[in-house]
Amino acid sequence: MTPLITLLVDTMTVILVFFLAFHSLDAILLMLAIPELWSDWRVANTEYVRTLVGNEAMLPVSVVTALHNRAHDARSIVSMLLALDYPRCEVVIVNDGSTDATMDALIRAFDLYRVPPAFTVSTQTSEVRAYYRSRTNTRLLCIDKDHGGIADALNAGINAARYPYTLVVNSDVVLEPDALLWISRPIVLHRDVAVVSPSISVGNGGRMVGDRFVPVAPRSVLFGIHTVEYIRAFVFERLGWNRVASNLVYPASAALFKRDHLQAVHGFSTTSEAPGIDLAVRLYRHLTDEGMNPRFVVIPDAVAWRTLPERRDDQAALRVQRQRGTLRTLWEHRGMIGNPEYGMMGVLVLPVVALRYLVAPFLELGGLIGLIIGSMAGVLRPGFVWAYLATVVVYPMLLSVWTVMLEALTFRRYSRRADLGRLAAYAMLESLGYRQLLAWVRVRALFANRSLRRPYGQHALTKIA
Amino acid sequence: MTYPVVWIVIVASQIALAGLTLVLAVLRRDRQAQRPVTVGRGEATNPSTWQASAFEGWPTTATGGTTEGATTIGRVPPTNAGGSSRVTGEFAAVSLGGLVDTQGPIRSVGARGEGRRVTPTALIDPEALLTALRAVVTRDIMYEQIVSALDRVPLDQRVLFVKMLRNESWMHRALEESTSRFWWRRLAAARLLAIVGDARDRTDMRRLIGDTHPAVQSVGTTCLLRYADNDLISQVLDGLTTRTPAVQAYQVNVLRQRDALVVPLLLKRIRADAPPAKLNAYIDVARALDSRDCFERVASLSIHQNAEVRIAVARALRNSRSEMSVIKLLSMLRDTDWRVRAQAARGLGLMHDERAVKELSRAITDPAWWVRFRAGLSLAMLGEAGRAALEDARTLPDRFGSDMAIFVSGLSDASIAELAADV
Repeated sequence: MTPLITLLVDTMTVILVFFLAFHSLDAILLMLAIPELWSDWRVANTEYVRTLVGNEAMLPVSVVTALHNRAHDARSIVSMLLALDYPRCEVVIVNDGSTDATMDALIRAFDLYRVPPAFTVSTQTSEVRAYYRSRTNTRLLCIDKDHGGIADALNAGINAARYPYTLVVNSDVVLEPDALLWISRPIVLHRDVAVVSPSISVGNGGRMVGDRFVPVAPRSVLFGIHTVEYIRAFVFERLGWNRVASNLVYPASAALFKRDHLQAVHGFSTTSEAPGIDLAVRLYRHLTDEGMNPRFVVIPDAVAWRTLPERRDDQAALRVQRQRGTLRTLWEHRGMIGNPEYGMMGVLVLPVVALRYLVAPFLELGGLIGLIIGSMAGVLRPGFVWAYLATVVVYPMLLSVWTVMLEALTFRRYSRRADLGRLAAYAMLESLGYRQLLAWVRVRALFANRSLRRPYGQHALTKIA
Repeated sequence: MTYPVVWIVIVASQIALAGLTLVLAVLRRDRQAQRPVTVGRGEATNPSTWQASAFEGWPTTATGGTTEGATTIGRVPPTNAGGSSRVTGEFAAVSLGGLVDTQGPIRSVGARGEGRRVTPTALIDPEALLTALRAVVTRDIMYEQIVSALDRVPLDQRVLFVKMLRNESWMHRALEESTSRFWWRRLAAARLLAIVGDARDRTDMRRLIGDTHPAVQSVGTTCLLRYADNDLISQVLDGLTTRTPAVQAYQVNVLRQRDALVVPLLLKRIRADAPPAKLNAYIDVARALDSRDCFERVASLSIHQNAEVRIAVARALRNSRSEMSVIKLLSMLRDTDWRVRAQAARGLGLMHDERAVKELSRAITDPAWWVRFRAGLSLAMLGEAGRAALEDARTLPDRFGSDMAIFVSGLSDASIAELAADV
């Protein structure tokens, strides 16, 4: 064999071993999700714990969200948040320099009146024009400010939040009515929990029945694959991470924090392209450096439904942002990677994230090219090719199908058989092209020279309306 | 050589996932197991459909009796979607608790309607009920079954029934699980102890109160309502600082119901030289107890050197509503720590004592925002005198004070009450 052929065969073997280990880790996380779910059901089904959740010990929570040019659905978003079933909470809405009539719509809908700027400012933001309170709902506070981006707007909301806990919700997320009760449960029951995030699923195509959001498996193949991906990555794998270590939660979608913690790290970064991940890592580092042993957890209940952008370009832009933002965050906090001082987050979670975002896309594409060249040149043995395809295509495909099965067995959010059948089909399609396309988007993101700011998403309620 | 490893890893992971999923499915089905027993009568009527269960997994087989409308209910799945328009007759364990309950609007697809709670038609003799329970008890839902059963026992025979329950062999086996390594089994044992526990169970109670899981700690504390002594109460008091906020609240609530035992033990502990963290927890208990002795002891700590303790004192004193508390709070309005001043201002508003108007009018110009905010809210709660002082404050030369007065003046009474009640 020539050295070139030897190099190709050896490289392909390394890639195969990498993906075998990588997907096996995903399989282990799926397995760990099962005892985690069982344990969680035990808590959720226990009347005594329900009493605990519903009693005076419930922590007062400020729900913060930011709006930009949402005159058409601002009212429904705010109404949804005000309707959250929770004993003590306020809703802080930040109008981030909308150029449409968002602020007027809010003023009319909730009979807002201007109040003096009587708030402490712990994080500097772009200028706040005015603060408003509602005559019809005392729990509502609205902030009108110059446009500064979603992170800047959320920081303004966090500044004005007066309760010790803050739930930060993206405006493209629909929360179940009892979501806050369940999200706050881990903090109420465990001292070391610093951040709680609900499991997040794709809400495109769903509808409201009464006060509940009923999801439907999307007819669009792309949304369908996204749905399976979200169920696997943001529900079951995160539950698995709960068992192993802290989760690297994505707080920009929906997450509950202690306000003091947010203030200590000066809230969201206004320069990061993935402010949620950036905040999670900074917060974990800060709390660990302060001598705490914090846990970031994800709960299976209280589903937050997220509406993904309709246009493919926008979806790709979101991926690019997350890719670049995550890698930048990892670079800024590279001292944490592999550092046992940061516990499992340093030793396991961050290295896995680095491999997933930085190494895996290159290996995925490189492996594909190597497989085609090697097969055409006849230097790869058929046994190897089958083993490679089994590892890179069939293995993740089976894991996605298991995800759909577990969803059908546990949460039963997609109750119709047709929906489940469609999801299973999407699970199989995910490995046949989508994963490779995603790898290409991720590789391309590394070389894109344009800095992107996290956009405001679209709210599922808009679709419903 | 790599290839067999690849296949082995993939197949092994699939087998493991299949096995775990199967276990999960079996466990779920086991929890939903339905074992019918006929011990009473009940009735449910509903225009279209009904939900026949007091809680998930409860057996709901209709035996005997008559069914009108659709068909016999049969075994109703845990979603509790029954399929009859009117059902009367002898029900299985549904009517053990006398419950055929829709629990609000029905959510099953295509059906809407309200059901009604059916009251038990007759109380049941303890012996007969115990015999029925022996046939039906399952580990997972034993607590619910016993609570339902207790509802059917005449009041004068409940003590006897509980004693009989405690001596049942299945109850002994269930209580032995207080040492299980699975927290949910310890929780189940604790719940049962909260119903049947007595002096001989104090070792188990002690272990459950000191358990590592917060849910077990809480339920273990509930056992004190059945049996309590100084040792157990002391254990709860001394462990308060190590508990989560929810468990603390739960335990304080239980301690409040055992105040005769708690007050002497608390008085021994509320001392200026106690560690501040513990002292704060004791003060919180004292606040809940409504005991004059405790409030007097707490008030003596209003000049404690630790600010956290003074904050706890200010918070506690507003519950006492005595002359002494108003005087103490007025003096605390001049504390060096703004958090103490804010709590004192808040307390004076909640006590509705108009003597505080003058001091609160001064506090609305305090350098700390929270003190101004609390003072403003409190003035708004102090009747006409307070409102007049707030009106005057709108024109104060101090811009911060006047801003706060304007802000509070714009709030409705409901808003003020709501804001003042917040943490």
